[in-house]
Amino acid sequence: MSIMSNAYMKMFPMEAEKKMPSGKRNSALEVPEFNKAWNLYRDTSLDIMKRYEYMAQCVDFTDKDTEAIKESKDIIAANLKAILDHIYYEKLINDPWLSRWFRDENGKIAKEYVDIRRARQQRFLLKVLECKWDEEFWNFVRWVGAVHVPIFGFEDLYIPVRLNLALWGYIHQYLFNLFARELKNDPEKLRRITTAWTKLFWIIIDIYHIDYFGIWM
Amino acid sequence: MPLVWFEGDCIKCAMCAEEAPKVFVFVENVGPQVKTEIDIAAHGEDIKRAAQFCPTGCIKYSL
Ligand code: HEM
Ligand code: SF4
Repeated sequence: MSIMSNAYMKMFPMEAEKKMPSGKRNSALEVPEFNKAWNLYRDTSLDIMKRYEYMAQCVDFTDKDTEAIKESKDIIAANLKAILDHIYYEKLINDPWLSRWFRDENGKIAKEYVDIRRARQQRFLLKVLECKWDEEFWNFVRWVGAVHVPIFGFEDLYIPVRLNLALWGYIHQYLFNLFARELKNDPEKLRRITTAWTKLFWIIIDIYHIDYFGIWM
Repeated sequence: MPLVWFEGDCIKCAMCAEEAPKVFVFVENVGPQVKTEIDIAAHGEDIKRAAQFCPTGCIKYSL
């Protein structure tokens, strides 16, 4: 055995075991319970509406949550400019890594480009606020995610997943602090709205990342 | 007569041409333009939608 393979076997001792076929077949196609799971896996991978419906029932996103999102429209609309200004003109362009995609070839912030990105982000938020959870909307969310990777974006554009999560996380907490400030005298409304947005965020983050991973994700 | 036009600061984001492709065309290095020989009244909803999403509010119309 070479030094390398010795080291490998130490690191992964299970690999050193003799491989024996277990003789068991994967019973997904015969046992009804496993078959249901298999069908869900397959259908939610192929059909974006089925994926949304499955995720929605998992996180318990219901019509009541849609109503709560609609209730939050006024707060967001009144603060939309401030939210976007903050995300773009403070957060994104001042972060040493996030800002990399918003600079010109000399490393300076490309102001006009940032304005366009901000405008496009605004459209994204407005489309979310329309609360139309139909195929067109989910396809749009999926497409927005897909433009951040070379699959549907520019060939040399690849935004790492961790940066998407960083930005989603940042937007999430920023919105929640805004709600908390605006609704400090109505804790029940605050609960409704933040619960609904939490659920929606998780579903959006799943659909947004479809093209980042293989179908099995 | 129904009309649609631009007024003010356009940031050339091209979203009007995406929201109402039958009405607007985005010309690279120039900006958005209203297509010629179209029935503006027939695309009222698309125009309103494009105006709603225009970040600088520079799409004006009378339908
Ligand atoms: C919260 C997560 C994010 C959302 C909701 C979001 C939203 C969007 C939207 C709506 C678009 C434009 C799609 C369109 O053309 O209308 C876009 C494109 C883009 N985003 Fe993001 N984005 C996110 C994360 C990021 C991050 C973390 C970066 C990099 C730091 C980034 C950089 C870009 C770039 C460079 C484009 C242009 C892609 C192209 O022109 O093909 N985005 N994003
Ligand atoms: S949507 Fe508004 S800002 Fe963007 S290109 Fe059209 S007219 Fe200009």
